[in-house]
Amino acid sequence: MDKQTLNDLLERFYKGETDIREEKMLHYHLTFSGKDIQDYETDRLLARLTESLKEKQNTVSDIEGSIAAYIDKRMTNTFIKRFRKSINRYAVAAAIAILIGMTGFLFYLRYGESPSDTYSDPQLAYLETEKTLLFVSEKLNTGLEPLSNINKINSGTRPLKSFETIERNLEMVGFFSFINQSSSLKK
Amino acid sequence: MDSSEFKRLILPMSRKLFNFAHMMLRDQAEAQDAVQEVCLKLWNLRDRLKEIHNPEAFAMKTMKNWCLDHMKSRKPVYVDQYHSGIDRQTGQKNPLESLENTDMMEHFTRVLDRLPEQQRSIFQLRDLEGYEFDEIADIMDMTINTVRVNLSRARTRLREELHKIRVYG
Repeated sequence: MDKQTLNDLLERFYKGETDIREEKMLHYHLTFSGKDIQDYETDRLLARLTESLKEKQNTVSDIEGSIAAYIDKRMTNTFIKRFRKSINRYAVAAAIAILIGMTGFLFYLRYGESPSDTYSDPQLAYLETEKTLLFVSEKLNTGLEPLSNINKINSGTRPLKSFETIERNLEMVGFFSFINQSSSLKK
Repeated sequence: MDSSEFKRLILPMSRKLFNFAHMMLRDQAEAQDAVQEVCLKLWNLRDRLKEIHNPEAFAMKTMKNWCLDHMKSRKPVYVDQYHSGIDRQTGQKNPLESLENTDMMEHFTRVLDRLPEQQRSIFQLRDLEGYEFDEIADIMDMTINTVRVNLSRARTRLREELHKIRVYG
């Protein structure tokens, strides 16, 4: 690489305009080329130190191993947590199922037998229905018996109806007196 | 997506995620926590991962957001792993100790740590991880031009600081 090319490349490098390929070429030249490099001692130093730092970063500790172990640990923890969570869920579901079962069983024991309110024989059912309706009717009539006194009140007030006729006749008389008054005014 | 498929997808990018988190948070333990948290988030989104065009960029973006949230919530503690020379996890000497330019590397990482967060992240993504500009723009929620400007500033600043150290000591 001639001096002019190197200068141009360096200028562009410090302006951040070089691409990866050019930067590799520049680093390689500055690091390994021995001739005409005295003027570029600082640039060479920067290239060398950058390479050293890169190497150093790649040798520090077993980061991949520790991350792999960490991922495995997390996976195991996640599995255990999920297992525990599912166990808890199943336990709650089982408890609810047992509770419902016990309640149903106790309910059956308490009210298990169905009430005998129906008849398989229609003739018997008819007779029973008739008997029931007669009973209801009897009770209902007894309940209405005190209301029969209202008829007495009605028969008491019946003679007063003749007053209505008298009232109507009096209205007629009033009408005639009105005609008399108007004829006297004409005179 | 089952765990083995998830591992096949995530594990190859875990180092990049870690380095990116380390560059942002500047703490190895926190960076490792960040990777684990992001992996957990990705695991929860595993059914959507297949539909995502670039899962790696998505993971890096998730990491960036996680780190920013974490940085907002934490107290400002400055922990510099690179300078200690000891690997916190293994307790062994850092490989940098064996390099001739340990002092220079120490200065370099200090300068890198002093860069603004965006410039540091973009430097990490471009010069250390080798992402394309459009991928970085996607990860950082920026335009490509803004990415270029930030990268230019980061590189220029690093060069200037290295020059000062080299010339004036």
